[in-house]
Amino acid sequence: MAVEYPSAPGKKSLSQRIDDWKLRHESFIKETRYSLYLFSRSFLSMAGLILILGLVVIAFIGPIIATYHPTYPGDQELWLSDPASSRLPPSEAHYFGTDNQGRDIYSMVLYGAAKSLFIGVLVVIPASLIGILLGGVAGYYGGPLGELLMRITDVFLAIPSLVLAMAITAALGPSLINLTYAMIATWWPWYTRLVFGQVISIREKQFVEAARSVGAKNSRILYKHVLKNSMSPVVVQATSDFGYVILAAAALGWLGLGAPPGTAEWGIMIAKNQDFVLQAWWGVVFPALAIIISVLGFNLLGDGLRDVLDPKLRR
Amino acid sequence: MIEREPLLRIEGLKTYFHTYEGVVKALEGIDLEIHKGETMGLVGETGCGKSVTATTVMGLIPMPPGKIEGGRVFLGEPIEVTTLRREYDKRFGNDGEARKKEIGKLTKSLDDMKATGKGKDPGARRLKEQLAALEYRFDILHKTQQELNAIRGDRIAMIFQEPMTALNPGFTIGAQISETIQLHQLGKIADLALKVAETELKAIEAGKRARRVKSGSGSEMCSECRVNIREDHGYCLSCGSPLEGGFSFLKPMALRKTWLRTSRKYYARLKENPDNTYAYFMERLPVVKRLVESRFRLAKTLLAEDALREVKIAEPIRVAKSYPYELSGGMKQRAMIAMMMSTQPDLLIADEPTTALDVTVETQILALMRDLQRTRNTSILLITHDLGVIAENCHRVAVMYAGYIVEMSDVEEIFKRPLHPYMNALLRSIPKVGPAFIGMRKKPLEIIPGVVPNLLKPPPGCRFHPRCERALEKCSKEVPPLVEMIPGHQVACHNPVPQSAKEASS
Amino acid sequence: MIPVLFGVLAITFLISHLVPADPVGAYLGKQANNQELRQLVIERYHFDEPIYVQFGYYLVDIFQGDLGYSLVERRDVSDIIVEKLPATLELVTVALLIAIPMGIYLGVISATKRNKASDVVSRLVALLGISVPTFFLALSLQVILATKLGLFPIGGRYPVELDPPGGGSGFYLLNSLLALDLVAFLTSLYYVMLPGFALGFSMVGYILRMTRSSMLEVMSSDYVRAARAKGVPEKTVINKHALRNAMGPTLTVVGLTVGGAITYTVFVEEIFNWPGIGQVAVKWTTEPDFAGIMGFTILVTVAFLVANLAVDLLYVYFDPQVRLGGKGTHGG
Repeated sequence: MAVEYPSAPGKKSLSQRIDDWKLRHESFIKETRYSLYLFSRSFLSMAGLILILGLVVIAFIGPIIATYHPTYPGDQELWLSDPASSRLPPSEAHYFGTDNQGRDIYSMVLYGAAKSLFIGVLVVIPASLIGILLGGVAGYYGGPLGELLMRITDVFLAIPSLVLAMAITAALGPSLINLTYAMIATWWPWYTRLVFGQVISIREKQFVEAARSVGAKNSRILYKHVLKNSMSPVVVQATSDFGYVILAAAALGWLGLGAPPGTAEWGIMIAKNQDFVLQAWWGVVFPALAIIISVLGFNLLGDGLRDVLDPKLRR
Repeated sequence: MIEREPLLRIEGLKTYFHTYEGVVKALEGIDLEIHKGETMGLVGETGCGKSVTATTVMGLIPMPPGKIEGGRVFLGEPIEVTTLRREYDKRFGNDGEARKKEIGKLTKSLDDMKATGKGKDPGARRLKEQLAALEYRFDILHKTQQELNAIRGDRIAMIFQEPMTALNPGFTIGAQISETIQLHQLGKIADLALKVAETELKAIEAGKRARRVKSGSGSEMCSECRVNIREDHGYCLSCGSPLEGGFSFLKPMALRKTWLRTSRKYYARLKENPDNTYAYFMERLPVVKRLVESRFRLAKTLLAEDALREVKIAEPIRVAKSYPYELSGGMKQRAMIAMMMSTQPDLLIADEPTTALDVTVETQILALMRDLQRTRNTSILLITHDLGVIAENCHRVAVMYAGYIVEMSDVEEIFKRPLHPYMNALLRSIPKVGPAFIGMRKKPLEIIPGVVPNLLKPPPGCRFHPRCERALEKCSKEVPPLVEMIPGHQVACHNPVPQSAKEASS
Repeated sequence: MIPVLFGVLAITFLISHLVPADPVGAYLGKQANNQELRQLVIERYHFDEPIYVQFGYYLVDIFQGDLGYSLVERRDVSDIIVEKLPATLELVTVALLIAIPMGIYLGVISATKRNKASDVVSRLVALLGISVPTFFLALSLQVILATKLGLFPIGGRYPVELDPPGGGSGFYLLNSLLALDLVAFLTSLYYVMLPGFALGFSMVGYILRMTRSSMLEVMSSDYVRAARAKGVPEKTVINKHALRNAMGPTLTVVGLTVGGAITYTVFVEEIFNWPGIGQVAVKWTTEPDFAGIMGFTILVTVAFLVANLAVDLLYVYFDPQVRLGGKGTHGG
């Protein structure tokens, strides 16, 4: 078997650089390709992927394919009510029917998709980043700082998440933005604990000792070796968390802690329409379906990723 | 001594694993025979299929990726049946229909004989043998799960490489050992329980009473019979007299007598017919179980301790009460041997039993196994990659390479005259030390070039040929069959190492 | 546990006193601008003192059992909690009794019968359980089974016309059993079934998945293989040898889901008009009523911590290493 060598040092062209990179990361590329193959073999994982891609697409083109649109007096989103067309069943004019105030459910669901998705992103990304940072530092450097960090994390984890979010949102005042802040504050401890555990177990492994013996600086070790190897459970958790955040946002919205009534947000829609569910089930069912499909999609995706990334379940 | 009567016969065993990357041909038609009372070594490099052979025989291959593609394994087949079977196999080969017809004919003849009352006729016996031969009655590969469960642990036992992981961490050693005994030899436990109950009953009826007395060594003794007692019971085990003090739930003697009498009846029933459905139900009713269980549990513990004594563990009473994590590696392996040998199996499969242990412990364990074999006439299939272990412990040995058996003979013979190039090269690669070899000191160590083949895409023909120094054209085309070149010595090679040259260089 | 509790109190304090721009106004809610009330509140709760002093008073109050005064209900929060808690506890207990056995049973089935029909169904059940919002599930159950089909009561804990089973505990089921009143018992059961199931279903998913993954790992372990080699029948291998060692992570998850249950009970109680603490909490969050929310948060946290403590104690049964203390005494 002929062995390939990277090209000689010196100036290189772009194609040479690409080839070099491919060579250096050869095993990584092979592993990734195998992972993608495994992933594609699982029907459920692919289904999740498709659902989520669909959600993303809808979030972006929602306003375009919606049949009705809100007006925006000031900064508020306002859906005009039209009492004449209240509680109409699904029809040509209104695909999902109308609610008690005559608002088109179909369009509201579409606009809600964007909101939910953005809330998901705005919560999960910052929370995970905070968690990675704090967990990584606490786990790697340890010491009193680490102890303190983990204690604080434990305290936050002792309060059930939804309740904490409820409390913070109530304190800040009900609005979607405050809801987002509250949820970031609720979610970051999980990542911290997760990364902490991973870092602790990896830093004891021998390849870290090896790197240190070659003289690598602590921060370099932390970043290059330790964190990179801790990432896979974080990615899995984050993917599923997108779903859970959307669920929690809807739940809080249902309680009235999110957007003001009349906004297109799935939770609020269900809350407002549930009193008339017997006469107009579409007001509740369609937003609920939207929630279920989104959460389901993220869970399937997360499951698929976990099955693929877990070394024990491979081969 | 070794009887030449075969205990286990493996014929044409083929196991493949269907994985994502393709089909791994782990075993390609293995033929192996283990005789009663003999230790057969199975040696080869990692990945050559020795463990797969063992697990296939036991029926422990995970069936989703694995699949037994062919072959049969016969346990305890009488020689008469074997000869008959081979005849029939030659006659019918793969023809299922013809075979079924012949089975039908024989069954009918048997039924006729039974109807006319000629059961004991030697003719009937011959018919039965023919039926057994045709129906592969001794073939364990194709038995039902229930039948297999009865065989495993009772007639064939297997010990594993890693004693740490093979013992269930959630149960005590004693519990795991007695579980084996309870599964297969319930009568034995019932018998012992019966004896204990009866001794106690007799003592109570005789009005005996004993006290706990301190013996010379400080432990407690029974005042009646002067035998050391176990602290945790309310009566003496050897004479049965109830002891004062101590915790006993049924202090009033009358109650105890009734209780013992009921237990006794139950134990007698159990002893007579361990598979009794009545006993089955009784065992499962919690109330009844509680009532009769105490002497039963004691019997189980005693038998477990006996098993531990057989493997020469010090303090068997303490060990039986401990959990696996409290023992050292060597003790764990002994415990596992105790667990698997407690039912006196006919065949013990030892899958690299000492690879995970220190060399000093290894010697002890192997000596133990040799002992057990001598006293009980058990056959052992010893799987290892260590030629030294083979040389010291086995009567015969089979060498495996990449899913095939490439050489099989008596141990002495094969070390003196390795016919297969692989075995030959293995023996040559052992560094030789000592004053006789001074001249060889400057020569480089001998190796076998190349690596073990990937079983997904094995080389065609003889799988060793890419690394073989004696490879011929033929070797890359035809798989060499396993033939007996010297009496008692089989080789699978087109171009085996010539004897004269070997004797010269040994 | 104590330091954690302290930390939690610190957090609730921060949320109620520091987070809002105007804590006094936040507390007063709708009457924020009433100057007289403001003065009263400032004096009563020492808002005019420095922060750490306020925290001190806060802690003292809590330890004396004073969780504040709910303006909405016009009662002390602690009184409300004491009154309404048994109903919630009863509901949560019933839900756990449904969820835990179902989750473990289906999890084991899913792990041992891979890819057969029962496995697929179990996994679907688990996925639905975790993906469907609790309030929607509760609503659907109520609408379909109670309103439309009339199989179950629409809401409430006991028929309004009758006297609920009295007695010491506040648990209708228990009281009626103790009084040997079968009719009352069955009636209470009838009313708790639907909300209990709704609550339980949202928890089943997590328990099922954790049991499943834990069992999968255990079933491929060496000692399971050794048990099979001993000739142990497969059913026993699963239920005795494997399950015992697989229960650890499941137990932890059960502890966590109790925390979730306490949260979801808010939704279920609201929809089924179940007179528990969750229903009140909904009112508190929407009004908003600060004392109530903080009291509720503290209560929920304490309950969660207690549940986890119980889990830790149960661990002793399952892991002999924990029981006997320490890692392996190597007895030679």
